[in-house]
Amino acid sequence: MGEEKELTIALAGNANVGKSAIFNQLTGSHQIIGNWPGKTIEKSEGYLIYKGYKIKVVDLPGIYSFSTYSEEELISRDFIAKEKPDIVINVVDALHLERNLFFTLQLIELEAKLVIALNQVDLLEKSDFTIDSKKLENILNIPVIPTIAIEGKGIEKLIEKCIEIYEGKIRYKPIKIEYGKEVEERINELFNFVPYDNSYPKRWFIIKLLEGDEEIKKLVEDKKILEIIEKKSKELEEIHGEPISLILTQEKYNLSNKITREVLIKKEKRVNFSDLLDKIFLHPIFGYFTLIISLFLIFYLIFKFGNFVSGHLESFFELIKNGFLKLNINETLKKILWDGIGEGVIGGISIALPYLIPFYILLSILEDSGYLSRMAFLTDSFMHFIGLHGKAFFPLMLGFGCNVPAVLGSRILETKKQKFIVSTLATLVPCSARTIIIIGLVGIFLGFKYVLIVYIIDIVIIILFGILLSILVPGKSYGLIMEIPPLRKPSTKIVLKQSWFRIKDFIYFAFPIIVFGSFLLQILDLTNLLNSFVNLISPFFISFLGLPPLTSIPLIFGILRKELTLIMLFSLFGTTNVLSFMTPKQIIIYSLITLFYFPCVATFAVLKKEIALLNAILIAVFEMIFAFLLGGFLNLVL
Amino acid sequence: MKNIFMKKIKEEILEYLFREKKEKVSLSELKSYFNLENFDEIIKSLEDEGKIKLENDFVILTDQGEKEGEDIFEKHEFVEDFLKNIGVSEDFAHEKACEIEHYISEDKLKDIHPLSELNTGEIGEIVLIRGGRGLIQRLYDMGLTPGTEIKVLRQAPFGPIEILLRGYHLALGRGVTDRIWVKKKS
Repeated sequence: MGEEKELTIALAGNANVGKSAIFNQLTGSHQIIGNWPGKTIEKSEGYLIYKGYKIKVVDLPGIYSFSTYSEEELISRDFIAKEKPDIVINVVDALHLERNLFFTLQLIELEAKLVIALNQVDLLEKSDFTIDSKKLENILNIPVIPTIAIEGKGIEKLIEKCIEIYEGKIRYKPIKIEYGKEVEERINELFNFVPYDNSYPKRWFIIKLLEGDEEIKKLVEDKKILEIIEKKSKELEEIHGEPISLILTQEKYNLSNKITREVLIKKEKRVNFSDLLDKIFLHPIFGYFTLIISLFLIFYLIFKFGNFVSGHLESFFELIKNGFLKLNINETLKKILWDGIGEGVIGGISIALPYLIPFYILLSILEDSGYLSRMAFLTDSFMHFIGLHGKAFFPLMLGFGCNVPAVLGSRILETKKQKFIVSTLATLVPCSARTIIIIGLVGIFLGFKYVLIVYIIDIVIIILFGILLSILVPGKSYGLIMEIPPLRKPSTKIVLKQSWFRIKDFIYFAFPIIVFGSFLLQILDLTNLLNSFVNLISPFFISFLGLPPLTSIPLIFGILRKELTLIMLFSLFGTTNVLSFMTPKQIIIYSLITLFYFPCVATFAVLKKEIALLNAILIAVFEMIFAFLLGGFLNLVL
Repeated sequence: MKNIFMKKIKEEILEYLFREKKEKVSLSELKSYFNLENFDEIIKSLEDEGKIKLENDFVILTDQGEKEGEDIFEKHEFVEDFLKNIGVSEDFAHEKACEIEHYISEDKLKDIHPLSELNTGEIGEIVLIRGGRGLIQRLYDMGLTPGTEIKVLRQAPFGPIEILLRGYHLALGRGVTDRIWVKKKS
């Protein structure tokens, strides 16, 4: 093998245009994709070997501009300007050309070497206009490749163009962005005057100084020079009556509007199914109706399907158990093997997977169709009660799968206050592990009605916590500004793939913990350590919570994975018939405690990352006290 | 000249009463606040026009008076916001707004509304956006620049609205739509 030449390509563009889909196609990775803005919150990297090149591909978070100061915008801007990837693939949503071109113009200004992927051209064909991509290419003087990312169409051509530009086979000289005379004059005056020793492109650097960009201003040490720059932007402000950054934004939008009008060709009017469906989905009455029905249906389906499969699996494992117990080996070893490893594996398979698989499939359908964005729109006014807005719905909904991405997803909110509230509330959302407890314990032994009651209690508590936090946490809350992507038919392939990658996480990450936890429990049981602990804690459990003292053990292990609070219950009491050792009241108390008493370790770790260690500890302690007080309260009143 | 002056003063008084609507304002309070030579004459004239009435020495707006006071108040807010928006200092904006509010004709202002007041299906052209620098920049970045045409597609009850602009759909919360002023197109 010859020496591989290395090349870095970054993917940049607006939110929800298909960057991650292209990234997945290029690198074979499995970044989460779906039809809602804000999925990619951190840049991710992957590799591709192509025609003797080792290509590093970097997927940047989707943003609309480099001018405001959100974290994602800074990540993207610094990566492009400082680390200078060899080529930037600007992914442009063909359905929303004008707004996307505004971002393209900013990339040109940042002097990135661009190749444009005009994505979703398949959807363009179904719309009532089309785009002359050759003309667009000529106007911008940048290669434009039509692509259908989710099908992999145009991807190879895209990468070939990148290499051609890199090798200098195509001369790269994009359209120049020029502003009014009064602006250009001042840029020129400052050009040779301001000391410049950084990696940002010089013209861009000067423009940002004129705009008063705080991050960029830090690079100029001389106060006198800053004063002169400020004077010049004041002059411009006086001429236009508006801050200079707003004027330049307007000028770029005017240019992108002009280009769009030149390349867009109207076709005959077509029926737009997305708009038709939105007449129902976003209807002031039927919209909420549909929302409630679909949420109810989702959980009902998961419950029914899960019970059905779980039941069959259990009888199957029962057969295996009987066979195993008849084996002629050492009894202690048999007990460790079966109660430790066997029960753990069976618990994992027969309890977790039947509920997880349908949940993730349904979640992917919601995401990929774009219905999730409708849900966010409809819940906006409701979210205002807890100091948030509609966008908070995305992370909170993801929380039903797993709290970890939900806490991380809090980043799509704008202010510190909102991020704090969302990441805290996310730790209370009944994730799939808790759903397994609710359904596997409350559902199976008490019925679906009680499942609903427990869910409603959980949601009410989330709302109360939200109201409390919105009052207590200092800071600002912004209103909703969110793109609503068109609805589309979810792709079976993507839905299945997406669900598989999420379930794979469970199998690789959670499964070993569950099995290991069960195993450890058996060892502890044999060494009598358990008994002394249980004796110590039993007064609290018996008199305050009214629970069997032995249930304290699964609660401790449940800190690792909440599923353990159910699976260990079975192996500790040596039966899956919970009613033989717990009353219905105890079941309710126990399952509510498991919901709230501690975010699992993985969630705690990301919480620490998002809101700092002290806050994370504070929240965990608060939730623990709350959970046990709730348990004690229910023990009194029920 | 005298007429214009009278009109201005009357409007000022109605606006003041509108602002202080929740508190009862006594005649003597009003008199010392405005400190005018012909105060009694003006009050009499307003009473004759049916815009205020006197009850036990308290000055109270009639329905018609309240409407006019509100009108002037809105014009004042609009002008003041506009001036602040283009970078004029707060005090100066307030002072200027007090002058300009009396010279804006109904027709010119009639078509200008906050986006939140547009009905489903109506089209408006952005005139100005009020608010902090950060919010304005964010809205500009999403393409809501002055002169841009937007169409209201949908309104959720008490909640956000969905608009169409530059070929895409955008959801904006109530708090945001109150800050975007548009010129309604027919």
